[in-house]
Amino acid sequence: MNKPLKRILFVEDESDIRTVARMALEAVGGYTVLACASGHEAISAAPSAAADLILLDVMMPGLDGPSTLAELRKIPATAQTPVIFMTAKVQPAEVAQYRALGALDVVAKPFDPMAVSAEIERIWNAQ
Amino acid sequence: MARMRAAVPRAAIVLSALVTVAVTWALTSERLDYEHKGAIERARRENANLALGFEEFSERIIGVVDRGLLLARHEYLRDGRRIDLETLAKAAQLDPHLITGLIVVDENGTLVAGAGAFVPDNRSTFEFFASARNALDDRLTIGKPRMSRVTQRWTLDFARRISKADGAFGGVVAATVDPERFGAFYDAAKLGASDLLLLSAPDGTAPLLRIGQRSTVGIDMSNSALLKAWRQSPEGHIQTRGQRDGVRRFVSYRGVHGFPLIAAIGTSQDESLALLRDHRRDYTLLASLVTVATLVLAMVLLRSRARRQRDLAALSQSEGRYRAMFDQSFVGMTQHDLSGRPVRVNHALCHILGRPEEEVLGIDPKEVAHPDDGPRDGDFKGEFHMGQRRFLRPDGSTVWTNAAWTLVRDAERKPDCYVSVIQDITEFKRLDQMKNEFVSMVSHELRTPLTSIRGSLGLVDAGITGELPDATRPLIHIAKNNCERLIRLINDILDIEKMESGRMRFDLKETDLGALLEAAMANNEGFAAEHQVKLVLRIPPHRVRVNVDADRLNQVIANFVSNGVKFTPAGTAVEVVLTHDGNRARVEVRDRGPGIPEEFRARMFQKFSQADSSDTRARGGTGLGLNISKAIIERLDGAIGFDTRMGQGTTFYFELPSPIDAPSAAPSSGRPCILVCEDDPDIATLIAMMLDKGGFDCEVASSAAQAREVAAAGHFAAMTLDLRLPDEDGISLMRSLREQPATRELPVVVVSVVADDGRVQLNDEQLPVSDWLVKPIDENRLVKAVRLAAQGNSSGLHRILHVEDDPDIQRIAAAITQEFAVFEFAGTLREARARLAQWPFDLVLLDLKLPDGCGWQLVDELDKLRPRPAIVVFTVDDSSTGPDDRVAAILVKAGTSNERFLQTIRHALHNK
Repeated sequence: MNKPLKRILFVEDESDIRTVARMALEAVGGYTVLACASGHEAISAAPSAAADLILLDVMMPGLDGPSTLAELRKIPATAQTPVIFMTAKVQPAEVAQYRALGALDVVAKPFDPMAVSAEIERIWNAQ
Repeated sequence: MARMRAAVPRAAIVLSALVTVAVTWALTSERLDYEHKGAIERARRENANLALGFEEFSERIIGVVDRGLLLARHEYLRDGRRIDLETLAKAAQLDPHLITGLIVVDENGTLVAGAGAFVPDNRSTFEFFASARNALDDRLTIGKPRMSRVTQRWTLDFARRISKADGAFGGVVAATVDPERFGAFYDAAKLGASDLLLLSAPDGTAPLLRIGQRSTVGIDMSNSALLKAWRQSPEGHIQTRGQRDGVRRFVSYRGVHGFPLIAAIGTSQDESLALLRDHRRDYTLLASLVTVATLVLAMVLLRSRARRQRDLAALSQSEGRYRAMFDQSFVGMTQHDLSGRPVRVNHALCHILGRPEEEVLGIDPKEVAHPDDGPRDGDFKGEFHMGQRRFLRPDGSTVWTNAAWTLVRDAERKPDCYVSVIQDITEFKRLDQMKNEFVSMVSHELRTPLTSIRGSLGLVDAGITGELPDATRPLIHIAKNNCERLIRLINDILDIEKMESGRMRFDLKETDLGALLEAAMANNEGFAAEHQVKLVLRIPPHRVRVNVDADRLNQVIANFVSNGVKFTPAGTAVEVVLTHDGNRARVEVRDRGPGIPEEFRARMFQKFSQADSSDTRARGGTGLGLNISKAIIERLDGAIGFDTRMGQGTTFYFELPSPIDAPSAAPSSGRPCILVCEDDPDIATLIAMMLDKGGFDCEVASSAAQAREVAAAGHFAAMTLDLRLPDEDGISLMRSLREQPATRELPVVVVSVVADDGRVQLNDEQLPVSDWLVKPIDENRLVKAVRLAAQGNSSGLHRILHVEDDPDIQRIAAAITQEFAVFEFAGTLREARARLAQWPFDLVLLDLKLPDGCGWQLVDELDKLRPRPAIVVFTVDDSSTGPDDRVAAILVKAGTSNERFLQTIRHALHNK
């Protein structure tokens, strides 16, 4: 059994999605969510975030999800932190690619705000 | 291609024919000329011989006459006037027909003596007297022919002078001779009717001319060609034309030795040359035939040449067309020899590869192949290959191609060359790539705003942001539902795009379809519950294996079930039924909805084709589900369809290939299991299907070794055996089975093309074989033979006939009672009667609702059977049945537990 999931570092460039997802994760899942609007912001926030999980968008301007992940792995505080991608790009080949990068799993967009916390919890517990 | 030969020029044919004709006629003419000359020469030679013969003949006659004259003169000189010529003629045997008269006259011409026919008067005025008197010596003189006064016939006077001792003229001795006596040669020499015999004096007076039977004496020949010739040469040949008869003759003449006479023989040219005429006719005919044949042959050759030229022209035109097709094709084409070396390439290929023809022809294909395509060692080794290839151009760019090569065989089916077709698909690839990127981007771009909308609505709807006013809540619901629909629509469109472009991946795995359906039911239960619809699943007791991508098949099942749930009225059930018919699995989803209107049925599987566009909104579907389902099922080699009845409901179904489940452990169905030893998989499947229908489970062994191993497990009621197996023949397999305790008693039914040979081979051996069946297999015989064989192996068990048309129920019933009973099955009343006629049964388990009537109909007949079987009715609905003494029990299918069923059967058997 893993330690309980509490803090999530959430990286998403779309502010609407950021708002909705954060609300869903906090209100339904009861997590503490640290939302970042870009990869760079996430890299800056990461050392002090003390996140249990990183929830990472793929398509972002500037630094995309996989690049952000690569950078985060270089930071000691997040070098081992489990990552879940949250993306609309979920064709089988794409999903396989995310897994190859070391992601635990993928949460497909659009997500059900009332079910997304349970899905993340399932993935968390399955690792 | 047939090798073409140059046509022979027309002039050569005509010239050859003319030369042949000319030479033929020249040879014929020369030959005839030669024969003509030969014939004339032959005629001359023959005539010369004849003339010689005639001369000798004449000499002999003259000699005879002369001897008579000499004798008479001698007598006269000795005896003087006392001479008696009559006596002398007789003594000398002078022929009176030749010498018609013989006289002696003195120097005054006074007759001294005579013999034969003569007139006794003075002869001094006679020609012969003057000739003899005037002669310088006493040589023989021959006078001109004259008419005899006595005989009134032509005669010739032969005379000699008589000289006195002093040399003075002393008289004449003379003989009259019949000139026609010379004509006897004509008959002796067998001359022809137109031939000629002539004896002439040098002055042209002819003592005799004979032609045929007609003799002429005394005619004047002095102006004839013969006399003229004789004056030139005393002996020779001429050709004449008869002055009177106009006949052309070859004439040979010669002087009669010692006498003033010319002997001549002439033969008719027509007769001499008759053979030549025949020959001339034959040769002319032959030459004519050769001429006609030559001309005909020439015409045939000319026509054939004309036809050949037409063919050559057509061939050349056709060849030109194909060459043009090859050269001018927009698709790259090459011809390779059998080693794969290109021997011909077209312009398009050079264009595709970006290299000139000489370079392409000399190139090693490996040099221009894209390194990422890997080695192509299998190239140009089989009959046909097709695939995508990349090639490198000299400028470093890559060209994508669809390349296919095929082996071309000649008219005798021998490999001749390879032809490959290479199509540039670089642009297509680029567009495909663009489309993929576009689809990926669209899906992302559409989903991103939808993520916010869905998330927001979901949170608001769930009350996270606080309780909603009553008027707002339904509106939020509407927004959320339509958002969900939009998401499904996008997903479906992406699926269809992937399916149509062939990019949807299918991970095929052998899957238990029953288990998959059970899981699918669980997934869809919530949805069904929302619509107050129950889901009922019916699956057979045995595994049904299918080779599918479970996720994709789930998509189809979910689509069928959600459709069924949406259209079936609340409070009813949607039934999902799995059946298996031997090699196909069938899943049906039955709803009790309104049915599909007739006019709409043909469009069911098209995109956006819901019966009523308002349905799409009312039922929340995308209109794409069935289209996707059809594509998925077809990709799984299956079939999809539906049956519908207005007002009663619709059944959607799909069928998938499913091999017969061959359990590796002992059979659990309760049906007797048969080992099918057969190496041909199609025949094995056929036998298994037949036996399945006949009430048996089957296990297939495709070799003798496998059969031996499987049979040793020992749970088989019998086996069928093909005598021709890949590793060993069936007979030796049977011998080895008989040696093993586990298989010693296993009944064997031989099913083989060579069953009869096998029977002969086994004649003396004690290897019991239950039956011998020759392929092709007769289903009834096979089932009967196997049933008889299995019977021998199941002694001590009760025999039950189960009259039931549902094979699943057959299996269940047999499984429950397998410890104490063996089952046989009949699907119809008719089949049941046939089985009952063959064997006695201990018990008949009877379904009432059968395809060909009600099971009750059988009860009367069963009651009369001896031994009478116990009867147990096993039916869906007992409302139509009352208590009946003849029936031991009535069981209702849905309401009977396995224990109760078992007890009832045992009880009925016990009380029988």
